[in-house]
Amino acid sequence: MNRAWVWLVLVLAVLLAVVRVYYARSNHSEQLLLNCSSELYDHDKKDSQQYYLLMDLQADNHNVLLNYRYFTVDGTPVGSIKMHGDLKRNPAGSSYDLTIHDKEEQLLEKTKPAHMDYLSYISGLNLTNKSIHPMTLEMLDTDEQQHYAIVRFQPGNAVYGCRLQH
Amino acid sequence: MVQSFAQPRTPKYMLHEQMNPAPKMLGVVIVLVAMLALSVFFLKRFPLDTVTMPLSQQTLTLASGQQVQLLLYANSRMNNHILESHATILAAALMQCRQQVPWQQVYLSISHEKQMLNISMKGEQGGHFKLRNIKASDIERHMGFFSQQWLAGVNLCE
Repeated sequence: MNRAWVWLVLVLAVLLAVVRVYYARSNHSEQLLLNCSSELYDHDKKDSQQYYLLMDLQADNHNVLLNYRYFTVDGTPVGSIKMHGDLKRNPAGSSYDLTIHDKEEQLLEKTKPAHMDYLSYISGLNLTNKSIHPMTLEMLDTDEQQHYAIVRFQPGNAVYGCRLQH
Repeated sequence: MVQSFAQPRTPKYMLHEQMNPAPKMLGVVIVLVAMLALSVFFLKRFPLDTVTMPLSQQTLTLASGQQVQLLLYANSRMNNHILESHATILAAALMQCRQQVPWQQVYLSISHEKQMLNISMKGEQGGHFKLRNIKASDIERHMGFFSQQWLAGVNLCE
């Protein structure tokens, strides 16, 4: 009888240690900094318009900031969308779940780039209906030596090649 | 050895008499729980890395002999045929490049609503690492603009 209790205590101690190691691992802070620049080409019936997009993602300790800034070809700011939220790394695989809680939008010109229009629409729809805007970020190809990452965002199925800083 | 196991009562094994059935059950349960906990721990600790696989992947050999990898990313089965047909145009445009291109990998994806087409290119030129992103939209014509001429117009080869 006594021996059984000794074993029980031992096993519980081992379990406790395992749980502690696991939580220490999962709680360690996640730092991620991505700078992505893109050329935007908008087409409508006859016209076409070109813009530039600078997208930055800053993640530190589960907080994430996504900043989309739009410019004309000559560098004049057109507008921006800034989104704040939480970031969680998926235990399996190299992807992150982003939960956006709020956003700030700024429009300085009369017309929005189509990219901004879509981003504003889809995030606005989710924030109004569900009060969160869920996104996922998948790291398709990461090279820390060369400081780049090819990533994909959902919604939108948008692939970006980005500068990676740690 | 086998014969000694066959004999039910050998004086060597005193454990049976020392323990009553209840702690024995407890022992078995503890061992099972510990095994479960260990397997959960190792699964969590070393998860199977589920890297997102492209819908398809092909290697193009350009006129200069250079090899470029073309990777397609889809998020639904619906617009896969559109993605494939755009990839054919993109591949043909890359094959038209006369000089050495700085790109080693070219990624192509289309948004679910067919509103945005994304091309990301990665490579090296003169020892310098290069990245280029192109995002094009055409809401009214569902990517009707997309052609080899258009790709030449945005200087795909540079």
